[in-house]
Amino acid sequence: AALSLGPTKSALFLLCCVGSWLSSHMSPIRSLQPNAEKGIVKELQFLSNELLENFEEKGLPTSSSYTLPCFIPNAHPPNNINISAVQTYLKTIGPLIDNTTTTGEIIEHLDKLAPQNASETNISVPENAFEKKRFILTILKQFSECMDLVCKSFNCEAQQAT
Amino acid sequence: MAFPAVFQTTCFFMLLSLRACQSEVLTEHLPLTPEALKVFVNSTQQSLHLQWTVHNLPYKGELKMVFQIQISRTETSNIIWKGNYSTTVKWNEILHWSWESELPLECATHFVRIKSVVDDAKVPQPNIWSSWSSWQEAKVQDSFEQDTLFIFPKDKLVEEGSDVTICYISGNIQNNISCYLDGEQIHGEQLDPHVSTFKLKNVPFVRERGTNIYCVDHRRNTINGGTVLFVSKVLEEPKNFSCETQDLKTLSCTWDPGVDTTLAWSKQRSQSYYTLFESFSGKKKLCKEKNWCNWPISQDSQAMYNFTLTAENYLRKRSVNLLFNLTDRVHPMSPLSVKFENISATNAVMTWKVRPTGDYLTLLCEIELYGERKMTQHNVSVKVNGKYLLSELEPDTEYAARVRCAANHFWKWSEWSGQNFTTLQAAPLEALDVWRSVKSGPGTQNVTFFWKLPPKFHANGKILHYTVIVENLDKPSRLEALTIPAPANGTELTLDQSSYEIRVTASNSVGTSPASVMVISADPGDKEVKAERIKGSKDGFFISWKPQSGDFMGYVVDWCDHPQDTLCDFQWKNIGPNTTSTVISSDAFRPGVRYNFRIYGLSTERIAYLLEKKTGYTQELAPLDNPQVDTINLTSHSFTLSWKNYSTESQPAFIEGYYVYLKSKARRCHPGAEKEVLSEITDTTVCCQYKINNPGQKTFTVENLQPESFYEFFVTPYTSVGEGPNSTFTRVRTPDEYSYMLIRIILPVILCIFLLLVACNLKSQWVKEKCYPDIPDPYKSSVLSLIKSKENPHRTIMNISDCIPDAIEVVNKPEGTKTQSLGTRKSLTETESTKPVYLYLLPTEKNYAGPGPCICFENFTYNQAASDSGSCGHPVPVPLGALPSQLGLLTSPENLLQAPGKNCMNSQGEIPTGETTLNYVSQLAAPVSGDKDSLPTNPLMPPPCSEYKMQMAVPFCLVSPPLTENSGLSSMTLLGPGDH
Repeated sequence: AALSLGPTKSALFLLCCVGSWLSSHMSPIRSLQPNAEKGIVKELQFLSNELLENFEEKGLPTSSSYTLPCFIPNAHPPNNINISAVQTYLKTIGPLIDNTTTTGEIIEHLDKLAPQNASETNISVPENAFEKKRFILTILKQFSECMDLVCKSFNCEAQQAT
Repeated sequence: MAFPAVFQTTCFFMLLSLRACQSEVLTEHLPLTPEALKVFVNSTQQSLHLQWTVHNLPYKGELKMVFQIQISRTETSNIIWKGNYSTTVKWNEILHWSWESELPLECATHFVRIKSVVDDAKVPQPNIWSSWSSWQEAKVQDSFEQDTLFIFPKDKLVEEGSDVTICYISGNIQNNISCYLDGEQIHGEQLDPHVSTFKLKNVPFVRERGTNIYCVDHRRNTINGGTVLFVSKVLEEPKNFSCETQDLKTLSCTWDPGVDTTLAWSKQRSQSYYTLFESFSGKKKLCKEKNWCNWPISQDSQAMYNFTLTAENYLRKRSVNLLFNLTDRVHPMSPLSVKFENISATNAVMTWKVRPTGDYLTLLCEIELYGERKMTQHNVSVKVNGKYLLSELEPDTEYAARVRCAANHFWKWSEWSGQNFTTLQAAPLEALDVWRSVKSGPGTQNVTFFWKLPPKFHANGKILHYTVIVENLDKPSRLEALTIPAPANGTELTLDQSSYEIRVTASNSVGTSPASVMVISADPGDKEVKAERIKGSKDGFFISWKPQSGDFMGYVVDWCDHPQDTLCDFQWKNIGPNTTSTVISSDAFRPGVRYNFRIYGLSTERIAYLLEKKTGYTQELAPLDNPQVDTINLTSHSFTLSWKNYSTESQPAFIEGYYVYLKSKARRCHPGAEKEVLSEITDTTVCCQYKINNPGQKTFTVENLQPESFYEFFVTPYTSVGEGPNSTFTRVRTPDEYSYMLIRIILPVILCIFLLLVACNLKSQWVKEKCYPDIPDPYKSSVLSLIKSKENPHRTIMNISDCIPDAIEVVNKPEGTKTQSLGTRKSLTETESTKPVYLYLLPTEKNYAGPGPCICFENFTYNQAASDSGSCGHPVPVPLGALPSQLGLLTSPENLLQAPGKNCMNSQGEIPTGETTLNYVSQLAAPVSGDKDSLPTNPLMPPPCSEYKMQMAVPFCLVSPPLTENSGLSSMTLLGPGDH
């Protein structure tokens, strides 16, 4: 009997260990309350607008050549935000506009919504100063619009009105 | 003579031949043409770089030459620039020359050619220009693709204020292309079908990230090209360049770099960098910071330094020089270890150390000492350690001392190093400033003795207590000493009417101050002084007084800073004997507050004499409120206004009088009044203004008014600065004239009546006696006493029952109708009412008990009165056998029928019986109720017995319960048919 119980015990022990490991890694790391999510989205909306306003220059046009992949299709908020892509773009743009503080803050907030590692892909920034400006302006504008849309889906404006 | 001439000629020919030989050689090789011309394009700098050589130089030495250069644009014939370049050409040297183009070189092809001429003194004239070199083409881009558009220059860095030419090259023939500078369209000129240029004059600095320029192809509605023009600010020359050392090991150089030229994203180096170059040592250092740089001092005892500071960026370079001796630029570090030793009440020794700056340096140190009232400066020379005696200090005072040092060859002071210290206490230096306020009472003097807290510099330490010694100067007595703990500033003393000397001293932990003395005289001799008005200002009150002839050691002015408060904050000011005026100022003085000043002369015996009084305002203000006015003595033609309670003393200005404003429907003003228009918030009011010039007059009678009219009034004071506020009018109505007169008549009449009634009431007894006296009491009759005294002392009043009437006469009087009217029943004698009825009172044996016939007394007056009054006096029982006449007169059947229903009080008089047949019928006899059946049916029937019956009055109210037969004398017996 002792011999027959040995492998069973080990199997059970192993099963328990695997089960707990899986549960700890499969379950969401953090689940934010809806109000907290809304607060973060509102803050992101504010910061994205601030970033855009600080960069905007008179007579500088945007370009249709650049696109910020803001949303993930067929996903529910806040998981519909392409956090990874946004973080990558902001990490690139931050040093260019000499405002790593705000971009860093945005990246942190995005992390809180759904932690995803920013992709290591390098984004090619135009060399030409004029095109570089258009690239940054376009990305910041799209990010701001993106956050406006997300905020709308969270019904942020109604809360602001109240 | 021949030899010199021959020698001169020989030399001349030799030189001539040499010259000819040389010219021949040069002429042989000229003109020298530039060869191997190459043109390089630097797009960033927009410059053409030329390179060429000059071959076949005749000498291996140098030769000055001039090169003429021509530059054409687009085609060789379009020469846009030509100029000369002079230089010394060496053998086999490659020559370089650059030309900067306004137009970006990408926008057009340029062509260059060159020719030269020798411009050297070694070469004989005339110099001949060489032929032109061939045109060399300078082209940046060969061709442009279709539908492309490029703008040049790319991300160019220029200085603010410079002129810039930009261009674009389109792959297509230009059509519908617009260019914009920061969103504003710019217009240029077409260079060729594919190229347009734009000249921007005096470009401004807009932002660090540069000015945006782009072009839009409207045909395709796309932005095909763009560039950023980086406009930097102009690099300035460094200002305030200075070097100094604190330790003779390192020189610290600083400067003001001016405006920052740094731009973001500029590919060219827009930011400035700074270099230091020292010419004596030949050393150079690139500074890391843009406004300071450290330079190590060499240990080779270099005394002189000559620095060149160069600021440089991509566009410009600026330099400044500085030459100095190192010892002249020593800036010592702040002293160390500042301490104080041997601190006493007036002295202290200050010590400090200086940081080493080299053995040969002597430092000059400056000490600043801050006391509570002043600052003093002291200088001292120091090598290593400093020491200084600070003297003439004030006791018990905190001082702040600080020291700084500089090199003897002054450059800059070091930073301050400081420390605080406090001197020790000493005895108070001076006597207290004292004053008093005396209030005399019956047999006493209440003296409030004040002293001012001594200033810090007199106290010399913390005052612990004050000692007040009171000495009676009139009679020897024991000195009274009071110890008052600090921080009191006065004490109250109650003294008798003697003269006293009061001495006050202040004591601290070290000693006592000199005494302050003040004498309170038994007879202060203060006369009644009227206060004189003075005018103050915001700076205070100027107060002057008449010079006094007496021997005064000074004057004192006292006043209250807050006269309206209970604690008036008593103040005084001492003035010297030779002064008869002063200015009293105080931060507490406020506009609209009346201040009262008293000027005293202080005699040599230290007795104060009141000299004058002044009163005034720093600024008079218009009264804030109006008096509360009562209306008195209201008549149909006048009324009086009274505001007795209005205090003129507590007003914000001297009240000069009052205005009485009266408003009526008539809108006419009586003499003595002026028509005035009052502006109110919403309306203007026309009314009559009466002016009262006397501020003491607080009543005013408005006369000549109309009866039964409404009048409105208000009273306001006026001062030199204006009158009181507009107030609401109070309404009053004059009564009508007649009611007033009626009141004047009716009131006295009512009063008289009332007095009469009171008098009547008081004299009612008298009236009663006079008008309806009481029926005499037979027992008290004087007749009785007469009878008693003369005849039988045992005689008494005859009993009624003993009285036998002789006859009864019944008279049918008109009064009978009167009695009838009182009742509804018919009298038994009604049928014979017109005839007199006589009842004869006959003596009967049966009923007669007395000795003789009776005599009846009737009092009709009483009866009538009693009957008329209707009131009940004394119910009297009618005895049996009452006279029919009496009954008929007084007790009509109706009356008798009524009688039983009423109660009557009864008081029966008794008739004294005697030997005489004197019968008396009491007027107090009252009708007695009885059964109506017992009423006599035949009044003419002679009574069975002559007997005296009581007269009775039967008023309406006499209703008494039926009396019983047993009631005896008190009962009333009505004559029945068989009873006579």
